[in-house]
Amino acid sequence: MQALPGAELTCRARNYVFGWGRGMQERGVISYYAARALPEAHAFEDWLAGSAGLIEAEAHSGRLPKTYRPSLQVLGDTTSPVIGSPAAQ
Amino acid sequence: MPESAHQLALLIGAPWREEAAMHGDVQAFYDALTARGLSSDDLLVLEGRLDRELVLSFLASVQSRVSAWDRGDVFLYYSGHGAYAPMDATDAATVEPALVFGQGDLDDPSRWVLWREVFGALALPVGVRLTLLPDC
Repeated sequence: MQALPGAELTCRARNYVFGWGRGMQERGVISYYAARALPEAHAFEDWLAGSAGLIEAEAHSGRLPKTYRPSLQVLGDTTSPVIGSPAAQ
Repeated sequence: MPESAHQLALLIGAPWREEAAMHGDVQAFYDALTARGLSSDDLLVLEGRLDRELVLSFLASVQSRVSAWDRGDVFLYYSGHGAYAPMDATDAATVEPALVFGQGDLDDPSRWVLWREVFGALALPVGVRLTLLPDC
């Protein structure tokens, strides 16, 4: 089946409630992990790998239901540097 | 790694009704980008009860700011909703992906901005790189 034009921009992301107790907060699943992986990323491939690693770890531990796992991809040059400078680890 | 001459991050949070996730998402990206060395001058936030006019006006102001750049980085993050437009289309070849905002009826054009219109409004100079992260 041929993809619709602009299919990479089709909105299909989901929200999930992260945290516990008073710290519970609904967040976009993609945003939650992408923002956590962003500070230390050098290139987009690092950012993608960091985000995917966090997602897999939390899905494996049960903190994120496996049905909420997003499929992430970078369109473009994955070796390009991410805006700004990596934060010191 | 050489740093770009200019950098600017645009963070757009567009909740429907009382949704809280978008504000938390925008805040998290603000913090993450600050950790990467972006200053408050490098970070522009638009969130809340958005509509077509507000978003296009925001993008126009960004365009004015970056139009003279010969190189640089623009990061566009969107946390909100989207769909294909027009919603009553019967032919897949005629629809385009769009941002959808939260107020009013879905057939109200003020709720819609096509992604093509977003890129057109930004009209980034050739040497300016755009990074887009849509969470919608």
